[in-house]
Amino acid sequence: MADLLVCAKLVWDLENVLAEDWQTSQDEQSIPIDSVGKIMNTCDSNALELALRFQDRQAQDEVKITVLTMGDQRCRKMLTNARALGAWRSVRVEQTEEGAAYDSLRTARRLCEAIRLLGRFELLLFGISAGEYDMGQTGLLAAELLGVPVIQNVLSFDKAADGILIRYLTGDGEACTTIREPAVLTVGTPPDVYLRSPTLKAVMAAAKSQEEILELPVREDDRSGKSQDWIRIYQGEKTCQMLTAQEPQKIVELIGQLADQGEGTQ
Amino acid sequence: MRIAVIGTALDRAFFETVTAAQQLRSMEDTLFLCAVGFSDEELERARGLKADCLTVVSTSGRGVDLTALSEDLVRQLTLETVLFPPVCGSDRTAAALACRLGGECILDCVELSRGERREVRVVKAAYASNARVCFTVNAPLCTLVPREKLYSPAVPGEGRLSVRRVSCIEKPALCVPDSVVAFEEDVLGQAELVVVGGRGVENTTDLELVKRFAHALGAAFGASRPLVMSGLAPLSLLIGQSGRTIAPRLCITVGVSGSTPFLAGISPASKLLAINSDPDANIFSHADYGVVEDYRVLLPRLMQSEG
Repeated sequence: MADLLVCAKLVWDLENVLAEDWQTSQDEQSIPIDSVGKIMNTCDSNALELALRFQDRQAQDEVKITVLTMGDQRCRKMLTNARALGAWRSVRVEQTEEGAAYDSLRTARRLCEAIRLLGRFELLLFGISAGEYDMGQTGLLAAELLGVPVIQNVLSFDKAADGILIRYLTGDGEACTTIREPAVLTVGTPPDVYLRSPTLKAVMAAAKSQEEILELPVREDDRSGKSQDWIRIYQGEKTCQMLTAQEPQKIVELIGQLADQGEGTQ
Repeated sequence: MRIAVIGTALDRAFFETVTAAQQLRSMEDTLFLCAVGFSDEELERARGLKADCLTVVSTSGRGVDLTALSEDLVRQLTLETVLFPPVCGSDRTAAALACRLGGECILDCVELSRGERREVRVVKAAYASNARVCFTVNAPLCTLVPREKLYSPAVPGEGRLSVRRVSCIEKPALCVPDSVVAFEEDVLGQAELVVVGGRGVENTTDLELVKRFAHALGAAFGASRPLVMSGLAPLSLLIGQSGRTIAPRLCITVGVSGSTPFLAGISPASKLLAINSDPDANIFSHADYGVVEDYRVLLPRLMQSEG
């Protein structure tokens, strides 16, 4: 029996923000993009798909997947979908407290509190980063707080004779390691991994149950200010100069110039 | 402020991080270069870099827990800001170290400077590279990892840094690989000109055309995720969040839509020229130059002009 936990975050569907909607708010503290919907963060959905593939390869009921998120009721649809796909359990850490400021560390702390309450997991899967503030630290910090190893950029994992064999990318190659104790795995966008779609029947069945809700007390630390002060959010000033396809010679000359005289960025 | 760069090899990433640290440093600051497990030859070269002190930490070999070692270094040298070179595992070390010592960690920094009260000021990409966020760090310890291949590598000069040898707590790493299959020679990583094929490359004929174009330009060839997924290109050529990051002078994308994970892999490129038949493709929002045309028509014309 293997218990897997997938941490998922509901994020803005940034791929569907129109170019003209990337406008910073007047106070330069946010980009109002409420016009687009919210979806499960892509890296988290890839992590869920890897967990489901692992489950598919084992005997029935050998693998139990729990999906954990932190947020409000808007997470319900995402969690219902996860159950429809084969997650055994979905849990939402209620996030309704006024005045609590959640950065990566506070989020990781809260998730770890929930994980300790939920039981022991062989693998804890996190997306490498979420496409909002792109801090990319929640999984790393969860591993630190739980005192377990972390393996980053995981491509796949499978049962081995003496543990679970993890395939992952390092800076200069593809590595393998067998783990025998709980570990955090972070997942980016492996080339052949996309989250499958649930059947309508499965969604209807999943909708009959609900996610479990965990209400954790707010720590004093979470009420105090962040140790980062955001000064402003702004957009780069890159503008694309369009070239005409009818003048290939000019394009070739430009390529030659840019390749020879490219400037450094710093 | 006491600033340090902690590295385990004298490679390009280390030199780039030294440049980032030098930009962050002001006159009153002390800059330590902490060499963990460097060879004698590497140490001699590192002595030529501009800093205040070269701190040498000897280790028993690979598989050392760099977080525990760095924690000890921070205490011994009373460091306030620590930069780690952007190599595999640095983000884990930087995040864990800040967590242990009540600090703040920022990964993938694209600009480092000092604020009015001399606090560390960081700019990083946000909203899937569609915006940048600038903030100051008000923690007693700040750990930073600069973006890969963004800063010019520092060049060792004639000067000779004083060397201080320290011993640090050495613990085994929690996880080390059983085996690593290295990618073939890093042609992509070193290339100054790269042509990347994307979703628009649908079959081997298309692929051959794009590869011939790359060959004609003397460029390296890379692939976005859909091309690797379709089996047309190997994993070692994958560029993006789960693949490799490239920093050529010029990157030419062919039939690439410009998804967020892909853009992460080409962000250090100096210039981007995008070829796509869809005028609304996201890649054009991030490109310096764009051509709206079917590459099957355009590339033969370009090759003809190239002669």
